[in-house]
Amino acid sequence: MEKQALDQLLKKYYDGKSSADEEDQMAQLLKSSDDPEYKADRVIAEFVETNMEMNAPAGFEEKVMGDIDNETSNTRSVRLWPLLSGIAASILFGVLIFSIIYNQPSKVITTADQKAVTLSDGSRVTLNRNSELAFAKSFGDSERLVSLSGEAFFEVTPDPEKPFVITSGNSKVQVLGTAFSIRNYEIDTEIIVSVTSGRVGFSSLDGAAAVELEKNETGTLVKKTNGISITDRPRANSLSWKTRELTFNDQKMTEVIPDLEHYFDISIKLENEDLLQCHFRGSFKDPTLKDVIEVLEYSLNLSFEYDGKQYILKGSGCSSHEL
Amino acid sequence: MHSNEFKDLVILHQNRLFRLAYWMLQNREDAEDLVQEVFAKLWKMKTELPKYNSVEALLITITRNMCLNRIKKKKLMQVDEPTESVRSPILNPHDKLEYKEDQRLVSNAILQLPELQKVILHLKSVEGLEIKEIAQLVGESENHVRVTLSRARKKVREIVQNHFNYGKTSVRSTA
Repeated sequence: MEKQALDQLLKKYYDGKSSADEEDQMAQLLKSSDDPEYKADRVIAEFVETNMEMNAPAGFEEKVMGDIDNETSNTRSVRLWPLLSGIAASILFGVLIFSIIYNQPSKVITTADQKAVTLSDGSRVTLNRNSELAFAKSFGDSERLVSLSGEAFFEVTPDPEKPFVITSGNSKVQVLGTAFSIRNYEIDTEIIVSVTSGRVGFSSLDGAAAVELEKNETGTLVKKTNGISITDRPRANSLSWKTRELTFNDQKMTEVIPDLEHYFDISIKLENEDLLQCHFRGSFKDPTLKDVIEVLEYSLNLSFEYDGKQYILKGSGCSSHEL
Repeated sequence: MHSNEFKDLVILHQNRLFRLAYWMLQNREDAEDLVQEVFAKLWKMKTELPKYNSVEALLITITRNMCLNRIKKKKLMQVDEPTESVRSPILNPHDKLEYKEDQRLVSNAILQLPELQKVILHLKSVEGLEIKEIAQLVGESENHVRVTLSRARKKVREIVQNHFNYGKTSVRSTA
């Protein structure tokens, strides 16, 4: 009886059709059998088991992190040079001029383009179109203060002594060192913070609402009410403008359309409200508007028309049973 | 990205990567070396990490590529010495000689598999992943993964069985 069961399990296994349970069962039967017919199977099963129990050698993590930390301190000392040459220049021009130049706020403004800025502390900010970042050329002693309108992705250099503080509209975001994005265009009704790594403090300027966001969480501050809500999953496409990837996982058109409008900087109007019932699944890498329109037209049986100002979406819409 | 964050995001996968590298190379020192290289590479591209949906998938891809390169290099270097590539995996002096010899047979069989077969066999057998997960990780269809898995399993059994049938002394004869 047992042999028959084992034969059956082995056949499934070698056809690549066995389930995890069946494979466990097979390994058990092989272990308890000393039939020479199954010797090869038994030896292979033993080999696999040994491999399953294997781990990186003791102290491996320390070794790797040691190498990395060494490298980090090397690159830090390299980065001192621009600073040193800055100081050398300031001796030429006098201490007064130095302090004027380095404490004056400066601004980076984007219109149709995107720009990346490296701040004096090494933090990197990538600005989406139509955005503005204001900051001091050198930060003060207690905090690193910047302000943003529009949308940006922040990679903040850790400094536990000096929090990095961003004010945007009536919100305030405070971090020690992490990566996240903020979206706050004037026309947006909400201010959205999406965290890629680390922790971020997100509050209204008046301090009435304050939350702490963790990795993959999204905080939304409604401008009208100043209230903040948290969703514990990354908002789809929150970084599309930077990654050039658009992904829709069976999303409702109520979500798809704003994402498209934002990504392509266009405005889309629906001819028929029933179109909002449609769902869409698809992902694009660095798409043109035409790429996306073609797929949408094909999969949802609708059409786009451009009237010189905005796109008009036409179609009969989707009833609830259709995708 | 700070080194602590890097630890949480990347180094976290060290055991898994080590098992993969070990499986691909069938050699402990080489695997250790290689995983260290993989981490160094990731650290260099740390600012780009947030772009990737899955750091794990990225790590697996990089490890696979680096294993492939290493195997190619080794093959070039070892034209005159084919037996070198058949090294014993875990040398434990207390193991019975026969047991060791058997295990070496399997190790040798795995080294002879094409790359994709090796990876899929590893992810399924050692890491216990579902076909669906493997398909996503290696970027192949589920059906293709299943067929490849079946081929890999059959091939390993065939090689091991042949050795048993023709006597144990021929362990080192394959390249």
